Amino acid sequence: MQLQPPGFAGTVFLLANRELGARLRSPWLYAVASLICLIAFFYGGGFRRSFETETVLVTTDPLAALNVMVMAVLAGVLGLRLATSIAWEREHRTLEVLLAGPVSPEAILAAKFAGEIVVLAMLTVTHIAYLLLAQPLGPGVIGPADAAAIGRMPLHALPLLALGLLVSTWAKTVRGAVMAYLSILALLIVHEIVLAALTAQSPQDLSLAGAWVRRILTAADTVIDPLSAVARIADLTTGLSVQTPLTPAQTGMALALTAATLAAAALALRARGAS
Amino acid sequence: MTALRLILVLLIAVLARPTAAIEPEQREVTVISARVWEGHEYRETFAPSTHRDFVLMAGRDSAIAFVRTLEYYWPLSRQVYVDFKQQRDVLEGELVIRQGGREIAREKLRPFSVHYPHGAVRGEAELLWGEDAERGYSEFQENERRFVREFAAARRAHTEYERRLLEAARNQKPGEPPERIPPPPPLPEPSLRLVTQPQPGFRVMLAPGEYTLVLEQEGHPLPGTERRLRVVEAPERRELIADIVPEERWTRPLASNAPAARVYVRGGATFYMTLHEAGSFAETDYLPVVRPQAEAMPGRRIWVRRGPADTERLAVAWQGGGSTDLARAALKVEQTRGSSFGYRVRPAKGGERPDLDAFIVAAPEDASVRRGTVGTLDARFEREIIVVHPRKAAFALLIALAPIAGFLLWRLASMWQRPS
Repeated sequence: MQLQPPGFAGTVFLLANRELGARLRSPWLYAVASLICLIAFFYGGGFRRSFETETVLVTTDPLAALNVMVMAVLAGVLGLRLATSIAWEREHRTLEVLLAGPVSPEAILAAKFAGEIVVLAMLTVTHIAYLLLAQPLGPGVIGPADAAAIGRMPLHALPLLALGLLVSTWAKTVRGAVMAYLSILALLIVHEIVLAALTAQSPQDLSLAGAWVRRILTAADTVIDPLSAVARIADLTTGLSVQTPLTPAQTGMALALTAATLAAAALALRARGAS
Repeated sequence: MTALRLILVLLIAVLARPTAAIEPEQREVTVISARVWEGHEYRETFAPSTHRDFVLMAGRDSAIAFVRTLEYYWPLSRQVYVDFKQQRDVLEGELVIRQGGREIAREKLRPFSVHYPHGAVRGEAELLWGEDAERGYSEFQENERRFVREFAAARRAHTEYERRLLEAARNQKPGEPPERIPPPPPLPEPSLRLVTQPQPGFRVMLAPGEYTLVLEQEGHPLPGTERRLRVVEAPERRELIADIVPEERWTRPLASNAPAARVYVRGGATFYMTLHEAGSFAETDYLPVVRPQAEAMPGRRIWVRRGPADTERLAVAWQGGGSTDLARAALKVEQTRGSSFGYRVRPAKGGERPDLDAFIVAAPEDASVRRGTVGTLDARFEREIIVVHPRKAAFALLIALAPIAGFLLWRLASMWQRPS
């Protein structure tokens, strides 16, 4: 009897299944699930508190800010998990074993990424289920259509997950990967926040230094924005301020950035190898 | 002591410097001065010399002119202003409009006026061009002069009438019937019609699209007059939007412009709803037309109010709670007595000037009623209402902790079941 090695898809499926099994046995998944439910709980508390002094609120979607918050947390945490994934394998010499066998670097990356996408989907479903079941904003306030309004938002978390994977392919140790991922994340977040804060101010209220910084950041943003995973999360917050739904072009941009980052991760892993 | 004070005053006077006035530096430039159609009315605006892009709205003609004037930057508002009072020299020539490099129109400078048939406040207006503008303005002036004459004559008749009344009262003897004096004709009603003084401009009326503008003198383009022109489509239909006036903050209405803007109301509370006619635009289309220096946010819509809606009735339907018709009510806000703040909203009495002309919507207190809709009978306007009742906080917290608690219980159970 001759054994046939599984193809690319089969390998990815097997590895992803192994990854997912490990995730499901890990307490952090349940901790993150509880964390996002608690975020919704406290957000609902804030919503309720506003009705202690006011009687009316007008909004297109009371969950919009919550959904953005939850997606940002999930993207950050899952991206961090992926940032440690390959680095952990490298640090513990298991990557060497995998690459020595009939497993391509692309299959390893695809499996890690697919496993995390399933986790992202599970946590998103947990968030929706919590909103419908616990009704944190008050009984009947959240209908199925409101909960489903999260729509394409999880797709905007993917570039950050891919960024984590890219960092992991290059890092030698888990510690190095975590530091690199958090540093890049912090820089991108600071850029987005400062630019958004300066853009939100009217020119009359802006100091000359503020106007100068805004000009610099706006110029830099033309380069940073298409490459920034945080900007794809920020697209969700832009929707909040303009009260319009996400455009397919914005989501398309998030998917394109994910694909490009994964391709870069594959190249980096091939170049770096197990060492 | 006095000597010391004197020395101090002299010292301060010597050291003090005169304060320089902040006068912005002005420079002579060419700007576009325009009367632009913005979908409902004409607005006066200008595009600074630094703005190479100019935006107009399709549907009606707009008037533009290239003007040599003094332009300056004002740091307080971070905007560019022009001093038309000091200098406003309209440049002669022909306006050449091109699309894709092909010349599509060549306009001559003509006098134009803005004709407001029902007054400038109402907004409704049209542009009069050439002889029509001259004639319209002459007629308007003649009508104004006639009105002044008629009003003065009527005023004199009224004064004479009052004088005769007083005289008759003075001369009246006891027992005699009062003298009958015929009253004068009523004062003439002023006309709201207005025609502005003709001024030179180019007529621009184009279909939506991208164009270029340049002013040519004797066949040669005049430097500094080249502009890119974007003509945007005007919305054809007006929308109804609502202001939601909370009962506790009647001076701070909440706008419900978009149809998706829902009203979340505490169970048992009342709010007041006023409806307005509005034009809806993409901010990037509307703002550059009326305020060329404003920053428009891509993707955001803007609702420009045109006036109160004449809707008299609304229908409110509550899920599982039946439906009712609401009539618009004139309401008066009355301050409560005492030193602390407080007011109550009540129906306005006859002769009282109402503070609110609104529909009163009362949210049911019944916890089983959670949603409803309010809208016009012709379905032109509808908003969803969500009634917010107290939540079950303990239950919601328990569910939130369930995932991690469930995992820990499962691990504990696994440990107990594992053979030692």
